[in-house]
Amino acid sequence: MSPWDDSHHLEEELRRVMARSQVPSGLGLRVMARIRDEARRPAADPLQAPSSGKIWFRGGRALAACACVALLVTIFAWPREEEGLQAHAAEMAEVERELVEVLQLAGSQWNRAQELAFPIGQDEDHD
Amino acid sequence: MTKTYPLQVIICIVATLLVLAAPASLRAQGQSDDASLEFSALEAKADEVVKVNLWGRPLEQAKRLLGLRKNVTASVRSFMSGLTAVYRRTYRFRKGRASEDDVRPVHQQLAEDGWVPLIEAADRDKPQSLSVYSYYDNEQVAGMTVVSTDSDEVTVLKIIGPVDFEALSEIGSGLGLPVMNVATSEIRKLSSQTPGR
Repeated sequence: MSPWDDSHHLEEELRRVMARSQVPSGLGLRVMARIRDEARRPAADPLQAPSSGKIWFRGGRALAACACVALLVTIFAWPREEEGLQAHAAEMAEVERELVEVLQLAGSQWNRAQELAFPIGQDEDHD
Repeated sequence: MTKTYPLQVIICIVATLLVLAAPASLRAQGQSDDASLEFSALEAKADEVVKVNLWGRPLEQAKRLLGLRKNVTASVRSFMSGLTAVYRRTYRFRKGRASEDDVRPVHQQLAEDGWVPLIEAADRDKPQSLSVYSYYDNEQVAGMTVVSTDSDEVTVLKIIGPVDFEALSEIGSGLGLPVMNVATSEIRKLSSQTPGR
């Protein structure tokens, strides 16, 4: 069935529906005129780029582009984010290690200073 | 008639006063900036220099990380929570050693900053000395500095914050902190040098 026949069929159907219902005749005529216009429009060449009027296609392209961008961002940004997190964790571990090192050194020096200043043997002699 | 100043002028004056007051406040607390821990004579002579400056956010994060670990005793945890800054300067010498003249500026700087010598020990026969300084704020120990001189090394450790000497002693004995593969050679060296061990 050609689009032209199809439009005629639709027009007939619409006329029947309008006759049964109380739809204003002006609206029905406008719809029929639109159907005729659409049927007369030359068919799109499948090899050519699709009509820009197809909103679903434009939406699809936009979605596909977004998906590609998201994929690229994920591919390139993920490892870097992971590297950044690893670097931060390593940095924090280093800072923690330095803190422990300084405290242990200070503690050892404090114990050594105490032993030098107040030798255990001397205390025992006093006792 | 009362003269009114615009808000911007008042903000500028307050900001200027804050900027001017901040270093003085730090100084009053015995807290050193990096400049007061730069000893050019030692640095010029040393073959290896270790510098650790821990304060602010990194120190807070390190304390939090360390606090989450097992084997950290309550006293050590409490001691650590009060720390506001930790500094270390180690100067190592492969050839020769630091002279008394090289180390004197360290002691002079500490005295100028208001640090009080707590323990001073020196060996006449060996080129070794150990000095412990403390800083008092409202009659409470608000900081501790250790200066140790060895045949091949000079180390300055500065801890700012209320010092719990018992907790420090606990840490020095290898307790209270998780076992981490750190400073083992230096601690071992210190242990072997300590008489009566």
